[in-house]
Amino acid sequence: MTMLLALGRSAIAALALAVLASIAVPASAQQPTQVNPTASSVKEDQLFRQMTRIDGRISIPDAKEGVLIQPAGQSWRQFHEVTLPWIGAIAILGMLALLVIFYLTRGMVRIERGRSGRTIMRFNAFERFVHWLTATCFIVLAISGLNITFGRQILMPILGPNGFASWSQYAKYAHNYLSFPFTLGVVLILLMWIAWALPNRTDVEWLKQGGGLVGNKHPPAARFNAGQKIMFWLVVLGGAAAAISGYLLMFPFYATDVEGMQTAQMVHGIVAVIFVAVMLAHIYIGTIGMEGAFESMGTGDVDLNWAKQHHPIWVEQEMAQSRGASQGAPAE
Amino acid sequence: MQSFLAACAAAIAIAVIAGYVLDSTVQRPSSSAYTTTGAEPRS
Repeated sequence: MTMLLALGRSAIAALALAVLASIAVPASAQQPTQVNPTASSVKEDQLFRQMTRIDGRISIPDAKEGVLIQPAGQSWRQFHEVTLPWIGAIAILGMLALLVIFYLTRGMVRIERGRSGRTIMRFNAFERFVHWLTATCFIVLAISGLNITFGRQILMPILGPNGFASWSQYAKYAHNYLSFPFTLGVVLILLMWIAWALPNRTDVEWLKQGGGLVGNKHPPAARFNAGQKIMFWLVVLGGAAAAISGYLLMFPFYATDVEGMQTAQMVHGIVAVIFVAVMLAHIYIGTIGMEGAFESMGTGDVDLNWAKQHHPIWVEQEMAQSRGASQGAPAE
Repeated sequence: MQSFLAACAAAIAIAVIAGYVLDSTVQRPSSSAYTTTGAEPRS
């Protein structure tokens, strides 16, 4: 009996020692030196730092569905929910504000000598057709694209959830399918006008003088001035970037993985909102910003005094060409 | 004005043709694109 009691006391003492020892050991020493991703105590951000993605094996044909969590998706969500709307709002509203200020301070750029009553052909029917093909598609693409970024905040309270869903569905169809004539238009613009859009020395002088928009000087220019050349390259390069990134999104996972899709969406979004802002400036100067400018894309013919004021080198070239043609023509 | 109207007509025509080509050749409904043949719903 005495022995049993002694053994019991020893066992209790050993247990107490073990408990004391476990309490006395620092907490950090109890943790494994490396984070165990499968442990329930691991925090989500620790897990994401350790693993680029969490995936598994699945039996359906779409292997991408095996990716349960892709942490980069959180950065992407932050971009398209927060960053992109801010960039878009600043770019578009900022441009609108600048144009309003510019119009109020500078006003419409007038034809200084007034209309001459004589006209000169600025753009032929095919050039105007390509311009309007690209422009009309761009307007629909811009509205339907901005709907993706801003529609839920702006339109859904007005249209209601069902109305907004229907509108967005048709807007997306228009966005997808009108991208093809838009891309065709950008390609035709490149081929049609690149010969006049290459930079030269007159562009430097034009830019130095602010293109005649700042002050009252009208620096000489050939068929396209430096501003129009810049616009040309913005349309071509911006259009190409928007088209390529857009087609990557339209044909998901044909050419890219998840990260590629996210990058394409970011490029498409940023290029698109900047494109819209730049086009607002283009529309302004082609309509209310400059007297006589719209006619070049309206009827194709511009007043001779307008042409001499803004594109004197081009007028000289056209005159010389027509003189040469008339001299070379056989006498009747 | 004629150029503008012609451009609008051309844009709509190209878009309709592109939509028809995509729907008939490239695109598949998700019910068939993302399922195994054994689980494919049949109407």
